Amino acid sequence: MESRRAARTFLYVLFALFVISTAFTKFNPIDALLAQGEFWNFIFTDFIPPRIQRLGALFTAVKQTLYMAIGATGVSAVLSLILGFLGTPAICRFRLVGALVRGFASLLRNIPVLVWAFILVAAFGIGTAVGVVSLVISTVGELTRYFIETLDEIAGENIEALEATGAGMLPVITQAIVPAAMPSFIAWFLYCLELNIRASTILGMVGAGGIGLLMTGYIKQYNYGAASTAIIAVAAIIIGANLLTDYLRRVIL
Amino acid sequence: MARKATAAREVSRGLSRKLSRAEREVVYPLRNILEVGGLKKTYRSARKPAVKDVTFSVTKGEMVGVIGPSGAGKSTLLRCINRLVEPSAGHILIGGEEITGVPASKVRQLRRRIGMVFQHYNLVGRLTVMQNVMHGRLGYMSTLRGVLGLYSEEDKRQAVKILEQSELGEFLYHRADKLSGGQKQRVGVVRALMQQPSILLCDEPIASLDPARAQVIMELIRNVCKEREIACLVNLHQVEAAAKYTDRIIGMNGGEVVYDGPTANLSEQMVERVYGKPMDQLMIKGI
Repeated sequence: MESRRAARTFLYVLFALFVISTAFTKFNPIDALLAQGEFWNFIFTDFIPPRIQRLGALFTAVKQTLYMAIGATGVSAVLSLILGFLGTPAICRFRLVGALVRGFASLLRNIPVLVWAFILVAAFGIGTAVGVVSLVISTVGELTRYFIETLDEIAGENIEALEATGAGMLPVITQAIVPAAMPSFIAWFLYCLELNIRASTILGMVGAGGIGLLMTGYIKQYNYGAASTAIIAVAAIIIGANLLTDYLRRVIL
Repeated sequence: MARKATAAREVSRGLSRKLSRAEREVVYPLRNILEVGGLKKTYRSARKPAVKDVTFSVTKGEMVGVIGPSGAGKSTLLRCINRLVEPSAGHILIGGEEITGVPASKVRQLRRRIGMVFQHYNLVGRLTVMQNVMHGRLGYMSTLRGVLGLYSEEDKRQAVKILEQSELGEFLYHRADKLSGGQKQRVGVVRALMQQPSILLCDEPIASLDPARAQVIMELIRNVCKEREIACLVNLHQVEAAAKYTDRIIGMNGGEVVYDGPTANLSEQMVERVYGKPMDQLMIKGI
């Protein structure tokens, strides 16, 4: 009885919050419906058909985007692996080091990648290198946390059994913990690769190079036909990335 | 004789004073491969000690069953011996050498002589039987060779030989997680044997096995310990298994030793005292 009343109260509160928030954003569902005409008009006359121009530049931008994502994920994986071992209490017994690593990862993770890119572009100027660095920063934050969770789960039993044989921590890591953790490591790596490919397509919008930079450029020049081609390329990249990571997951795991 | 008695009394009181070599030889004749004196362990989060003032010794090839209800401190006792758990007081001698209060490198060196078998086998499931067994050699290798997993040919031959003797010859390259529970535990025992231990600690080795498999494992453990003169300490919660396979029984209750004597002399009254329960309630579990 008690729990049912609590559930009902919760629903009322949720509904009230929804109404208040919607009112606050001045979002009017009826207006949105009426404005549809204008929107579709814009899409059909300006964006369609996609204009194919400067194909070379488009391919270069797609390549840059993919390189940014793959490069950044690779670098992050190596850094996160090291930080992951240092941040797992069962493996690294210096509590202070572990706490520092976890705090550092959390700081990197909780600032969105677009914000990092924005800051770095402001500091170093436009370019793909800036895109890679901002992806690395946020991915290290994410992956370190996932690696620590994985290691924490695996560490207990395996470490006890191997430490009992008189083995030192380094051989225990390479001979037991890494093989045991490998499937999770790969799964998290692929997950971050997918996220980074998505993220790198929009990173260009704040000036970090790649397809996003090209796309915003076209939009700012009112060249909507060409922008639409770039948008299709973005969709193709993301779908391709999903298919690729799904395939890798099936094959490897 | 008087000197021995005085020293022994001091040891049993768990004095933190380290014994001199001369005293040690008087108190512990060399045939005792394991000596535990005044051992006490209180976990940080607990008010009551898990193990209090435990003193006993084990000789070469002796098979000792540690019985008692869950929470009696059996597991803690075993883990203090190879310092997987840090003892709060008392001392432990492995072949006459102190393992308590020595630096980590010395602990690792002493652990090589102490094999351990776990209830949940603690194998790396994704590795092969052979790879798991070779882990027993890591303590004897340099860090670099250990990190790279460069086991010597001699060690590998030895592993194959012991695996074949334990009827695991056809599973050398099977993944450990594909084996049955009984097979996994045999791999666990072989891994411990690869250390060429003088002491074998078995923590509930048959608690996750059905009676038929349990029997095979207990026989394997008993046979190898007798053959190689390994002093063996087995935690068991089944009295019947302890009665059948051990030479001597240590009964624990509430962290204290309430019985220590030959298995043959263990009376029903004593078992009831160890478990704090009447006999007919204890026989149901069976083996």
